[in-house]
Amino acid sequence: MNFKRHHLLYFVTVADEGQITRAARKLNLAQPALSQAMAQLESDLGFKLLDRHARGVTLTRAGEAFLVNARAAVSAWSDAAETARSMARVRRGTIEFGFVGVPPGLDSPELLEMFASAYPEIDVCYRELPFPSAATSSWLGGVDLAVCHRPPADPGVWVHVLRSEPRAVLAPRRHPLAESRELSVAEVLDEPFIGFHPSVEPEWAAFWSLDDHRGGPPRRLTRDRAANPHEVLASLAVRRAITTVPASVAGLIPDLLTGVVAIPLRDARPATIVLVGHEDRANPLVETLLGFARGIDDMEEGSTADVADSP
Amino acid sequence: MFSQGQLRYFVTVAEEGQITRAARKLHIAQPALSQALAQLESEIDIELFVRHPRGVTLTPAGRAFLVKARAALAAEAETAQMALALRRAASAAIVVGFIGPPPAITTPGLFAAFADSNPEVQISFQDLPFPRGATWSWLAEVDVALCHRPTAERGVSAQPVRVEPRAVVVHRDHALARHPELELAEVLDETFVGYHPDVQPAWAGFHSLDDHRGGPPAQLTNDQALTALQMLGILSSPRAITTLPYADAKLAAQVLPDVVAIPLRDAAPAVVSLVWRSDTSNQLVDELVEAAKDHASSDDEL
Repeated sequence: MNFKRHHLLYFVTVADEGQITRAARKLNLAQPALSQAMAQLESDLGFKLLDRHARGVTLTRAGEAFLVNARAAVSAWSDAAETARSMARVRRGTIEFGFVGVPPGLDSPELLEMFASAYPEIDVCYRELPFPSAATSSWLGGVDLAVCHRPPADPGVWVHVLRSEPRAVLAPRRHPLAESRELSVAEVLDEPFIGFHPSVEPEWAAFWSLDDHRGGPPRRLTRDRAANPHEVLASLAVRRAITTVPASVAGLIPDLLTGVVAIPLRDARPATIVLVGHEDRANPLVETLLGFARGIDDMEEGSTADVADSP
Repeated sequence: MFSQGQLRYFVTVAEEGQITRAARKLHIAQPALSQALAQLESEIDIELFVRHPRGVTLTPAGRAFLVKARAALAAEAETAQMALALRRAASAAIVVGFIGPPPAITTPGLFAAFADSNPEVQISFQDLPFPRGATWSWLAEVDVALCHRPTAERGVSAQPVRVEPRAVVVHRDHALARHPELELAEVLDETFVGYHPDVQPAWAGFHSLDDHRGGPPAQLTNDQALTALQMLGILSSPRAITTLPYADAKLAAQVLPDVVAIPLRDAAPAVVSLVWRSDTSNQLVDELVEAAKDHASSDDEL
């Protein structure tokens, strides 16, 4: 069986996007080149993967079955490549530090400032990540560790809790709720919420639409396909819809975007900000950073205990 | 970033612990392998091995990479296998695996009926070794297999084709050979043929009657039986016995003049079944399974 490995990635992307045009954009390919690659893959395999329609493509039954393996192969190969890159970074003394949302230097600079002065020889580089999609270990692939709201559990990923934060509502300035100084969950549950891209991890997306309080999706989601924080903000500025974010992020947004307001949400379950990293990469620099973060926790717990013990 | 070939070289060297031995296994020259490894190391910018005079050992980075390299190769191999299965499904072809005697001998009615009602279908048969590792993984080579039911597992479906008594297979010089029939109590303490350590324990145990003893036999030979043919070779000496489904045992006795098959009156029966991966998408498997249901109810081959 002879097929080209990169064609597997093309196929998985087409399947996820449901459209050759959109997939081509995501892969930075010309649309005819992608169409041709799909035809080539089908001819190499000897069976049809896609049914072509006027408005997009759907998978054949064989395509559905093949997608499972193709996705697993693509992710195993990229995991191997990312592990190699991570090990090579160890050699150069650099850590790739990912973040979802606001740069960690803006909303919580302390840990990283302290780490930088304690370990000047370790160079921390920051990478902005899109919203989680699929398994945590896979979207985390390109970085050594990341800070974000707690993603769904994954056996391949360790989690270190940094802090819990209340949530806040983000709304466009001309939204009827925008005048409120504080909101309760009951007041916002029935509002339209910003829609996420279908590839965004469903549990993650649901959290920001308050599905955890509603017990299901909002009555109305906008037709946006937001895959990262910028797209959420862009949609907010023009829609009559809201979303929620951790309070530390909410504090920064109005400075950046005059058309959007942040309103504290009194009774929503808090967001949990965590560090996440790869369980099986054995990266000694990451272990140093994690050890440092744990040490800070211990110091803080120790000082609280001292206060509690004093008469 | 790296090729499938490079990963295969790396994994083999890591497993063999020596470039020379790995080169022999890969059928390439030792200097070529050394060079390929050095090139991989320079491309990914990691030192994978520490070289010693007597071999190589993995660095910590090499160990971490080995896990991922193995996973990548396995995922690609599985994708290729799935692709072959889907290609067969698309071209009205089906591969039937079997463990033991060919289905054409043990179960002729079922396959003749299936072939008659599907004249355009290309059906081929593939001899499989005894089950090793997870059932869904060795089943990936074929669309469906006919064998004594392997360990039940998620993702694997089974349809009984026939239930038959077990028989002891033994060399005619063995003390048990003169019995026209045997009971469990008479054979549980015998020396049994040993299986390859990779063979599924439940499968190997079934043949040495562990299901009745509640554990392995007191004595197993050092044989490492892995295929039905190998089993025949081992049985052609009077050292040890094994048990087989009755039809298989009778065939063994016909093939080997020095071997006899003796019915085992009170052993739990063997359930010869069709087994297949639940994620298979070959419609012919569904049709064969339907035919097997009719076949099982007609009981014409018991």
